[in-house]
Amino acid sequence: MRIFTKILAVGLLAIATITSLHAHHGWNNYDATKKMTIKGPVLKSTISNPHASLVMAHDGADWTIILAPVARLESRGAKTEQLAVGKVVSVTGYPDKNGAKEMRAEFVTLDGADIQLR
Amino acid sequence: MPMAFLSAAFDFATVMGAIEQWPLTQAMKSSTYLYPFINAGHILSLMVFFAAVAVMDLRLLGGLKTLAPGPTIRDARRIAIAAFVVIAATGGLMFLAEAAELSSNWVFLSKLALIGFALLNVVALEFAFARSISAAGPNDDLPALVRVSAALSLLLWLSIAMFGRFIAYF
Repeated sequence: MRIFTKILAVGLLAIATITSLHAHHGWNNYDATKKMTIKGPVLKSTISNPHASLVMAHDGADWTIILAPVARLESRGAKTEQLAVGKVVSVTGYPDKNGAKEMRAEFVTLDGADIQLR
Repeated sequence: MPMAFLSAAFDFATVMGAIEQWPLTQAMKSSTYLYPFINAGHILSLMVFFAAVAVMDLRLLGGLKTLAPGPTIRDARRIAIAAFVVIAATGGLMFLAEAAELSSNWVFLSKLALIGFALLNVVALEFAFARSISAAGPNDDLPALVRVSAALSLLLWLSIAMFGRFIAYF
């Protein structure tokens, strides 16, 4: 049985190391204590699965805004045209914990309507 | 010249760029419902797969004792292989939608490595113990190494499922 305990310990250690190396898009990778809003024209729009994203300018840098899966965007009433390049939108969400210029959006304001993305 | 061609063919950015252009990749990304349904298909086939794997491994470990190990494994393995084909196909389709990102994702690469290890475990078991497994009857115990391999199999496949789920979060 001791060998299994050892394998388990090594496995857990490996998972801990791996998870600290690379961040993906789960909410846990974003700092919920630093709510932020970016408003401006869309520079790049990727309406794509597994999640749509935008690029917008903020504080002199290009920020990637992670939205939601396409089906969720549609069912919440967001239209592709409203997220097109050049459209002025407002996104509110949380910045990447490790300082990447990336935000996970809690909601996006399109033509005056807040659309929840969670 | 052939070397230059080879290095271009295996250049990461070139390969990712080519995958990006595939119609299938575009469909996975732009279709509203394809990705979620393929994703669901991946999980459903995974459930069938693990059910078959669990029956085989539990018998080898000493549970489900009244079953004869040989026929049990032969029958369950067919189901496992069919389900694995569906898992690999749906997984491959989801990979297309995020090929570049996943190729540098440590959780995803670890998952692939674990799958390789789990498949090696099957091959090793088959090579070393196929005869003793088919010779065993109902209520017979199997050699200790067979039981180790079965325990490892359960541990590996469950870890692989966990790593798969973790791709979305880490």
